[in-house]
Amino acid sequence: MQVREYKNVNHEMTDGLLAKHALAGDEDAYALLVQRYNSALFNFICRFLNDYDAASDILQQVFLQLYLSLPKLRTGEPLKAWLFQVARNRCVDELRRKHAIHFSELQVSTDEEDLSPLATIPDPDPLPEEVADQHDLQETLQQAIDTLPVKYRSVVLLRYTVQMSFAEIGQTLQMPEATVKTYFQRSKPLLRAALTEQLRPSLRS
Amino acid sequence: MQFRTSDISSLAADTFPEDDIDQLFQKLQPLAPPKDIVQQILARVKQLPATQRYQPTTPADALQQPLEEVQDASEMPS
Repeated sequence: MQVREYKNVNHEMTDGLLAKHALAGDEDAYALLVQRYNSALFNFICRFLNDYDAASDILQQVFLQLYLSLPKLRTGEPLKAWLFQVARNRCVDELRRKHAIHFSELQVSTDEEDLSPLATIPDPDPLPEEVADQHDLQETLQQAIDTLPVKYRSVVLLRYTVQMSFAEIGQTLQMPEATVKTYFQRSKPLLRAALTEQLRPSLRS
Repeated sequence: MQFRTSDISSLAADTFPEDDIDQLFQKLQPLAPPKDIVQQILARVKQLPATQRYQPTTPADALQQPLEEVQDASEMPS
């Protein structure tokens, strides 16, 4: 990411102070908020959708919504939770749209595995077999996530990719912490089953 | 514990404990956004109609207190 200087803001400022600066027309403050959260949000969105291009577009929509919502951010919720809540809602909308519009096209994408964003993961100096093994693992885990119902997927991704506490996840998804824990526990047998299902062909041979 | 694809084979034994599912999925590597994504986002904001963009009218000194309504993410429970 490009490193740059900001005139009136710095990296120690709280989200609230940056939001206030941004609302007062300080573009640097808004840019700093974008820099602060874009990587974590993108990772969450991309894992949720398993679609790199869609994730890029939705990330932009989330931050555009943040900008336009600055005057209305008076709900008492932390900005981080607000951002991930918006991202999650847009991901759900995107899934609905994709499944409604071109469900049949999903099979076409199997021909485009070489373009998977998972293939772009940087690795300092890996051996070829390590690259293949790691790529396989990442793809296997992603496919297991793809099988989860949306309500479980949100919890699992916020936990595993954003490292949120159960309380934070509850705040983000607007559900009791106990429900979050229940969803998380219920997702594990599903993940295990999905992984087992993926391995079944290779185990037979 | 290091997991590789071959480690997932242990699932077949039906003895894969939940803690190992945790460790396995914590191996998910972060997916990086496009390098110019911040610039793209800022460009989209600049394309908004002037009426939707906030104009600098407030001196920076008056902005030293954070909005009470927007809490800092770092204050969230961990």
